[in-house]
This record gives sequence, C-alpha cells and structure tokens, in this order.
Amino acid sequence: MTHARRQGLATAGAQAAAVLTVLAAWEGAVRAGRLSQEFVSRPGAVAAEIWRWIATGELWPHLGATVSAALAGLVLGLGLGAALGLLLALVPLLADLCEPALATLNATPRIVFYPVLALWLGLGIASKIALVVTIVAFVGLFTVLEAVRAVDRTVVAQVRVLGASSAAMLRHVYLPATLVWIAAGLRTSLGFAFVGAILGEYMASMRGLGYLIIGAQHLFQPARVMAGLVVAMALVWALDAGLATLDARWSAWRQEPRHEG
Amino acid sequence: MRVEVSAPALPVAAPAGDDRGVPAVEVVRLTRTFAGTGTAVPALVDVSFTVAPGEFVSVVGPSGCGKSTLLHLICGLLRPSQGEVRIFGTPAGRVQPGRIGYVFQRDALLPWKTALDNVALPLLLRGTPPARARQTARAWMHRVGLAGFEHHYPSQLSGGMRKRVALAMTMVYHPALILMDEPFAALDVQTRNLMENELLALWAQTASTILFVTHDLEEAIALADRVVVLTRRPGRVKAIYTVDLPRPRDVTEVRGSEAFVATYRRIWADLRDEVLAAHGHA
Amino acid sequence: MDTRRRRTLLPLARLTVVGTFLAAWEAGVRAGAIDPFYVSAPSAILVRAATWVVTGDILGHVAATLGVTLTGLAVGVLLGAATGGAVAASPAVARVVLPFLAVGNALPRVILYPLLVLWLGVGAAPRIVLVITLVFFTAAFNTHAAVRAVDRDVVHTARVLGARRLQLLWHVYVPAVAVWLLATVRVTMGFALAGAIVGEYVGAARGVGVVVAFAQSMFNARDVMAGLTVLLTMIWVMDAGLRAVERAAARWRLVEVS
Repeated sequence: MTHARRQGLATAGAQAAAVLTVLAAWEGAVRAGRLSQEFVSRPGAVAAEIWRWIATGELWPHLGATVSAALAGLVLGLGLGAALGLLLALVPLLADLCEPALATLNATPRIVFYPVLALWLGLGIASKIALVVTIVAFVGLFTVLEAVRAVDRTVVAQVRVLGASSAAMLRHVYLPATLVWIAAGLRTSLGFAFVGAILGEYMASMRGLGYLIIGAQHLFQPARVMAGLVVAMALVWALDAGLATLDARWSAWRQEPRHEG
Repeated sequence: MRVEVSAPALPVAAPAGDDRGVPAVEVVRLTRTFAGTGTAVPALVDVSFTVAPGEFVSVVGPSGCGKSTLLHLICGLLRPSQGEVRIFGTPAGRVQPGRIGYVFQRDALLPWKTALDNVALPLLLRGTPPARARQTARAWMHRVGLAGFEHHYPSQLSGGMRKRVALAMTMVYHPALILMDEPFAALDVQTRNLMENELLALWAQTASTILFVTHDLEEAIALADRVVVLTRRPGRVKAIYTVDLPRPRDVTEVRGSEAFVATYRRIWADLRDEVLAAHGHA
Repeated sequence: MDTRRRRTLLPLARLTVVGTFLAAWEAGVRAGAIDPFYVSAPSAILVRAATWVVTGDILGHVAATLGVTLTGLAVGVLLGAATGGAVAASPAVARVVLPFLAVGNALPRVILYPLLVLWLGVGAAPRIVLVITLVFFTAAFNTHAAVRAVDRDVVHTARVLGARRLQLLWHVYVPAVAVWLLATVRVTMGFALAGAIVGEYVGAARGVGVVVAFAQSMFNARDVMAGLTVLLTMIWVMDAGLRAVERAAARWRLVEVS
C-alpha cells in the first residue's frame, strides 16, 4: 500500500471515528440523563423514527410530494431558463436591455417572493413548483447565456465557412455547447430545487417532507424533526452523488488540452 | 533561377505555361476600410493579384498588414469596401460553401465532437448520409496519419494532431480553393516542418488551389509557387515573386539549397523595409 | 450604432422598458383588466410603503431584520475566518477537518430552521444561528484558500528579514485575508439576508418578513407587494453600502477593485 493510500485511509478512519464518537457520546449522555431526550432526542430515537416511517409506509406519500415538487420545478425551471438564455444569447439587443434587471433579480434570494406565489397559486403543490422554477430558471438562464457566449468565435467562423445554415449552427455548435453546461448547472440546481420545495412546505402545506418537519416542530417532537431532516439531506446527497458520476462521464471532452507540439 | 518582380497595383499575369482558363482567385483593386470611433481605418488598399487553379501562393507581410482581412474578404466572411474578388469567376459573396476551405490559425475544431465527427461534419452539412460521411472521414484520418484516434476529443490530442484533424476536416469535401491563415504558427518548429511536408503531400494528391498566409518568409518560399509581399498597414501589394524551386520538395532540405537562399535574400530585401517601417523605424 | 451613443441610449431604453411595464400595470388595474386582488397596483403599493416609512411602522421590523442579518453575518464570518485560518495553519488538521467542512457546506442548511426554533424559541436567536450556519462554511473555505495562497516566497522573505510570528500575521497574512474577507462578505450577504427572511416567513415575531407573511395570510396583495418593495430596497441599499466600503478599501489599497 502506498504512503498516500495509507494516509488517505488513516484520515478516513479518523473522520469516521470522530463521527461515531460524537454520536455515541450523544446517545450515552441522553441515556445517562445528562441531556434531556425531550429536548435534543438521541440518535437511536431518530433512527427508530425513520425506520417506523419506512415500515408503516408513512414516509412515501410525503417523500413523493417533495420529490415531485422539486423535480417538476427543476425540469420546468431549467427548461424555461435555458430557452430564455438561448434567446438572449442569440439576440444581443434583448440581452443588453434585460441583463441588468435579470442580474438584480438573480442577486435577490427568490425565496422572498414565495408569499406572492402563495397568493397567486394557493397553498398546494403549484406554489412550491413555482418557487423552485423561479430559483432554478436563473441558473439555467445564466448558464446557457455564458455557454453560448463562451463558444470560441473561431469555431463559429469555421462552421460558418463550411456552409452551415442557422439550424445547423444550432444543432452542431450552440446546443452541444450549452448541454454540457446544463449538466453542470443541474447539480447546483438540484440542491436549490429541494430546498425550495421544502421551504415552501414549511410555510404552508398539507404534505411533503417539509410538512412532516414543521408539524413535528409545532408539536415539539425533536426526534421527528431530526428524522425528517436526515431523510431530506440523505436524499439530496444521494442525488448529487449520482449526478456527479454522470457529469464526469459526459464532460470527457472538457479535459485540459495538452500543450506539446 | 528566375525571379520576376511585377509592378505593384497591376493584375499579375498567370505564370508562363498556365492557361487553364478561369483563374481560381481574382482580386481586383480590393480595398477594405473599417469604421472605428470617428475615423475610418483602412486595412487594405487597392490590392490586386490573380491565382491560377492548382497554384500554391503564399502571402507575406508585417504584422497588421491585413493578411487575415484579405482571406476573410476572399472567402466572403467580409465584404469589400471597394473593388472585387472573384472565385472561379463568381463574386466572393456568392460562392457556394463547398468550393472554399479555410484553415484557421487558432483551434477551430468543435471541442464537444470527437476527431472523427469533426472531420465528418462538412460532409454532414452537405447532406451526406451519416454512415458514408463517417466512412469518408475515417479514410481521411488515416490519410493524415491519425488512424486509431478517431474517438479522441480535441482536448485529448496534441497541437500537431489537432492541426492534422483540421487539415483532414478541410480537405474531406475537396474544396477547389483552400485558404490558410498562418495555420502552423502556434506549433513548435519541428512539428511545423512535419506539417508543412504533409501539407505539400496532401496538396499534390488533391490538386486544390492554396492561398497560404504567413509571417514566416522561409515557410512562404519553401511551400509556394509564388509569393505575394504586402506592405505594412494599410496593406498594398508591394511585389509578387515567382519561386522557381523543383517539386516535390522537402521543406527542411530545400532550405539549404542555393536557389532558396538567393530567393530568400531578394524577397527579404523588400519585406524588411516594411517590417521595420511597421515597427516605427525609418 | 457606435459605442458612445449606445452608452447613453441603452440605460434610457432600459428605464423605458421598466417604466412602460409599470404604466401598463397601473393602467390595466384602473381599466379593470387586471384584478387588483392578486397583484394590487403600483400606485397603491408605493403609497402603502411610503406611509409605513413616514409613520415609522415598518422601521422596527426593518431594524429587526437588519439586526439578525448583520449579527449573523459578523459572527459567522469571524468564526469562519478563524476556523479557516486555524485549519490552514496545520496540514494535518486540514486533512481531517476540511472534508467535514466540505460536507457541511454541501448540506442545505437553511432547512434546519425548524430544529433551531425547537431549541431556541421564536425570537431572534434561531434566525441568527441560521445565518451563522449559512455564512460560516463559505468564510472558512475562503479564508483557508486565502491563507494557502499567500506566496511562500513572501513569507520566506519576511522571515529572513527577521519577522516574528505576530508580525508575520499582521503584515502578511491579515492583509491577504482581508481582501478575501471583503469578497466573502459580498457573496454571503445575499445568503444572510435570505436566511433572516426565511426565518421570518416560517415563524418569527418581528421582521419585514413577518409583515409580508402576515399580509399573505390575510390575502392582502397590496401589503405583500409593499413589504417586498421594502425588502428589495434594503437589499439594494446594503449592496450599495458594500460597494462603497469596497471603494474605500481600495483607496487604502486593501482591496483590488475588479
């Protein structure tokens, strides 16, 4: 085993040990009566709650609601943003007119607009999807805008000389260029999408992970609150890891070019 | 060895023995001015010369003399302010895309397509069925010595390999006229020499007309039948020299010959004044 | 169109677009084509916001929101900077701690709010803690990167010239980090305010977000829009303030102005 590998394993070991120590200490302190279970709960109780959710099937409708809201908003938002980004990139006049306003909107945390969305779309899943769309659309828009602008002008000139029509330019140059950036934008947006959906559920909902969590908070049930948070974070983490592997495979062509002769 | 200098600003007759009819490129009193903030900046003024079909002509001049602008005007990417450009008799703006090829100095390969797909692209754009386009592209990759690298992306290839893909991409659709804008400038010297020889070999096979822009006078002479010398900005034709060296040539060997050296000296005398003037010396 | 005319016409064109939008909105409401129940009218919104400001009704809430934001921002950035600096000082510590920081940064922290309310009540505390969690990790990473980025040669030279630990800290590391800190604050300001407002929407006693959430529950579009106008103005003012600080820092050559 190489030194680096040994060091890596030792580090991972140290980290795992640290996590387990904290969890064990927490569990132990509660059982020994030093910490109040009603207040901070304990890892065992949280795990038991999650297990109960799965075993009784209580989790699935709520998980489904949150995932639906997040994914629907993600797809709609990225699609809308990408289309607008493409439009702005190909019509410079529009870009000049709109970009400052869009940049300002992008800098504003869109969560603040949720009450307006709730006012217009009610308290059901529609307002959650709309919130996710407003958050994610900007990622899509600016990603595509940058991607199209970043296409090397020499490449564009070359393809034009080869006699490509506008449709061919779109198909062979602009769309492939943007698709890769979209894949990267997807990872960023995924986290935002779930956060948006859950925050929307915190503010008013009848189902979803956020509903479970906020309900548990109102009833002062820390185990349930933490169980919900653990499920939410595990979900986001798992999806992100999956996307990371996909992203690595799709962007094989973006390696640093070699520089020898 | 015969060296002819023609008077500037007059169309040059085709080299002796060549009477194949319509010239490949006719540049007649070409002028191009760019509008700046306020004043107009002339890039080329009153440029005239002719290129016969199948010829290899180099264009040299100091930096900024408008060599790239000249190529852009010839292939129709820019329109002349005054004068005309004709490609095989047709005005430059109206030439069908299939007749002209352009090799850029900087990397013009589509980075998200494999080498094979890059070479196949011109054929796909012309409506060739994808299977046949790929087959032809594969043959060309073999021809430029890149068999086995079909599924590499440009970022996975060295600079010289990328240039070879660019050459294959240009020649795969057999353009009658190929414009080259300092294509090898970014390569190291050894790779450059290799590419120059490969270019000559490919040219011998395809019989295209080549107009080759470079700032390297040695390269210009080693490759070409004739050398056009442009003045500093605004570019005019200072002189046109015929290069009377035998073919086939090896660019490294031919550089040592007496004929080459003598030609170099004659042309450099003209070019040097322009380069010095461009840098602000008398 | 040449560049000079462009520079003057473009902002004018943008203003015209915005102005036309507002005018059309107002006209639409007055003509009965747009239902004011859902969107209210620009005139009503502006009057309401102005009234709030003039009577001082909103100021307590603005102060509450600002207080939470700035407190959380300050504590989070300082804690993060200290952590980042400490981690950068020892590669062994960095190897163990950095992955935890990375994981912490990757987790969506804003959804922790209900847990914080459970533990800390409905006052300002949970919101301040939320903002701290949002800001801490960015500050830690940026500081760590800044310290690592300090040119080894510069440190070497200073040591050779006889600088001791504290002098090194003050003359070399602190200025390097200060540049990054300003940039960090600029980036995290948005998160901080978002955290404060999320807290107010989900459950809090005072704050502009509370005003907006309450108005929404009462189906009062005018007040929702007026509250949002106040919020957006706050964001704009804070950003302008930051830019002024950056300019001042640049004058004292603490910062490179991009």
